[in-house]
Amino acid sequence: MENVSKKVQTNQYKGGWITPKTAPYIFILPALLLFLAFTVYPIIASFLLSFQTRSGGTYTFSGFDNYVRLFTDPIFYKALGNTFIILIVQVPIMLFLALLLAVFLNSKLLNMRGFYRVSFFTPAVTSLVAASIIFILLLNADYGLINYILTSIGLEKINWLTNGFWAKVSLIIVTTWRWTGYNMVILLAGLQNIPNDLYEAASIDGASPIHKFFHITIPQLKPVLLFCFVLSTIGTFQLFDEPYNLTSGGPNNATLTITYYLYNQGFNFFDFGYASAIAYVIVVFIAILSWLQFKVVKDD
Amino acid sequence: MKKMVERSFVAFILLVLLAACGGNSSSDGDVEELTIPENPEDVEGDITVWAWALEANYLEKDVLPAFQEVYPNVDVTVEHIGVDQVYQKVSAGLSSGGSGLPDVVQVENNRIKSFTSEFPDAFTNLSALGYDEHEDKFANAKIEGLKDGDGNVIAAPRDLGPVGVIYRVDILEEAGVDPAEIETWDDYIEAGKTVVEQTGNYFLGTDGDGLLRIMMQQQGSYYFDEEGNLDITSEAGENAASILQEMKDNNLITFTNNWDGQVAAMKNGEVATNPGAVWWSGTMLEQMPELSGNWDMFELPAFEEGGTRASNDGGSALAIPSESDNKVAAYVFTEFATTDVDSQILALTNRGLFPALTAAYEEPIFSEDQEYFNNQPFFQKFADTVENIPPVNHDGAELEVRSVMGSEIEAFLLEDKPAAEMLSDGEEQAAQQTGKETTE
Repeated sequence: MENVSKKVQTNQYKGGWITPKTAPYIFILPALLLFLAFTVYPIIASFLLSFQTRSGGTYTFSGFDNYVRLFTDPIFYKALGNTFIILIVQVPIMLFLALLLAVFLNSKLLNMRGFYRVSFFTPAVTSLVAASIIFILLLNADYGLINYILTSIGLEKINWLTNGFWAKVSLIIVTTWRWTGYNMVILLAGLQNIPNDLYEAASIDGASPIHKFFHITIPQLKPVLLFCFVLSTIGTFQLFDEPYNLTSGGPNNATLTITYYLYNQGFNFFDFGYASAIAYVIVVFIAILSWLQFKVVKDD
Repeated sequence: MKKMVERSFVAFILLVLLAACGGNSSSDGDVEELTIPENPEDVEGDITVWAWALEANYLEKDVLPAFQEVYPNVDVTVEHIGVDQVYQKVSAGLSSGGSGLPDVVQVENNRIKSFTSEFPDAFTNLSALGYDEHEDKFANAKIEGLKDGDGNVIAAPRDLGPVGVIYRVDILEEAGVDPAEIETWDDYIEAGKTVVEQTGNYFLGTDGDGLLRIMMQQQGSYYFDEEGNLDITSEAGENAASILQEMKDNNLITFTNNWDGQVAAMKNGEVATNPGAVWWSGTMLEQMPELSGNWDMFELPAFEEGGTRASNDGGSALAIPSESDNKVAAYVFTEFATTDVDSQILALTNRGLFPALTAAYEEPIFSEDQEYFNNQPFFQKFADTVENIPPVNHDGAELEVRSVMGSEIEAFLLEDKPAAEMLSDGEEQAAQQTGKETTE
């Protein structure tokens, strides 16, 4: 009896495409096609492009020419250096601030938590072009509010956007302003997942709030912090809007980031081969850094 | 079954790759013979035009009504697109074999070569359609820059940026400086010292490498020589650098950071002069109406007595992409928009765009005194310099080199790099960036 019914079932599907075995593939097919066309294909094509140089309107294979050029290009090193400086200075400052804010907002003593949460998150969804215009006005050396405040308390004017050092500082301030709230929300979600019994047990053992922070909060948040670190590292390597709008990469390339340099080569100078080579070098850097970060956290 | 699915994936990927490669194979036979009908009413069809800002307004509001009276059967759509987007879309369109491009597009003089060196057949040969008959109606420096290697015109000249020194009449008067006596750059620096002593401000400001380019073109030289080799450390470059160094050593020049900074410096009286192109007038009228009557111009100071006192900065042209499917209508529109004198005058009065069509200089607007400009025939003064503007070679690598030199100017003004070093470092950097040879 059992045998018969099985036979009937298989007969039903005979000759048709849709069988229990193929059905899942058919269901994922639309997503897969889009993924292949818009993700896999560009990845392969730009990899091939990075080995090509153009002459007379056509691209020809030229081996490692673009990569050789890249490693002898002083502006590339400058852009890479700028990106690393921002990475090393800005990411720790931002994540530290984000963690402080998250702990603060997680406190049961605080009223109007929703309001603060929205306020701190707003920069992440603000149009960066509009925000940059405001920052350019604030940071203007002669008429800006910030220099007005500095001079009225007896300090020297600062050339925020025309001095190489201060332009980097401005860029770090704006980036931090924009992304702190975003990381704060992720950390806040992490904080809310820490079981309360841990804190209760610690209280019974007589741990101070600072002890609790370093011995319960931070270790428990480690995976979330790692996630934020990896995300921010990738974000820093892709930093573009901020320097583009704020300083145009100047003065004298002091705020030129690696992605901005890629944009210039590709979309200003139309050298897509070279731009692709830069893109692949960025990929390698991000991969190495992410691997290192995972490694460091695991070894602890 | 699994194998079949796998196979179809492989087939799909191959298909995508093939489709992507296939784009280049078209445009083999460009031998079509086009003739422009005698009777304007015989030209018909729809065309799309891409332009930005003032030029887009000019084409839509000043040209189109007059054009449609002559060519009633051509339907023109002017699309206002930002300058960066025009270039990106044109570049993307040309890369994909010409798809999605308009019938007429605005291109700046200094950008033309960056397209034609990439895509030699990007734009329609206008000479073949009869544009040669207009060639000598334009300023030589302008039309020369719009020809391909064989001397064919590939874009129709629209506006021009003749350069003079725009100055504040009141400030110079107060300092006791007579602009008529400023004939050389040395005179200019001496005048600057006097003015700066009086005002405590600066004599001029710059936000990039514009002044360096102006000074090099003034001497008939540029970042590139005739063959397209890098020629930044030429004698002309060194002359310009030494003047810039002197300006800096005497605290005459300030770095204004960007366009807005430059406008603010002029509006606030932070600078007394601006060696710049005539198109500054549009911005001045619009953004500093309170300074009416206080501005005037004198010709660019020469490098030595009796030397050239003219140069150019900016200006654009109209080109017809090769893939346009209505070249006849595109051509008559381009021809009309660039050679109709009345339209050129509207461009100047309504938009501040200075025509490259020299026949327009005979019109009354040029000889009229301009109240804003110290009751002087401001435009005539610029028009008088046009025939002396030396033509120079704008190469396909212009943008890369300008970007390099922009950074070098910043290093010179902000980080005290000596001007001579700015040239040599810039040339080395540009050679590295572009793979170009430098002139021996």
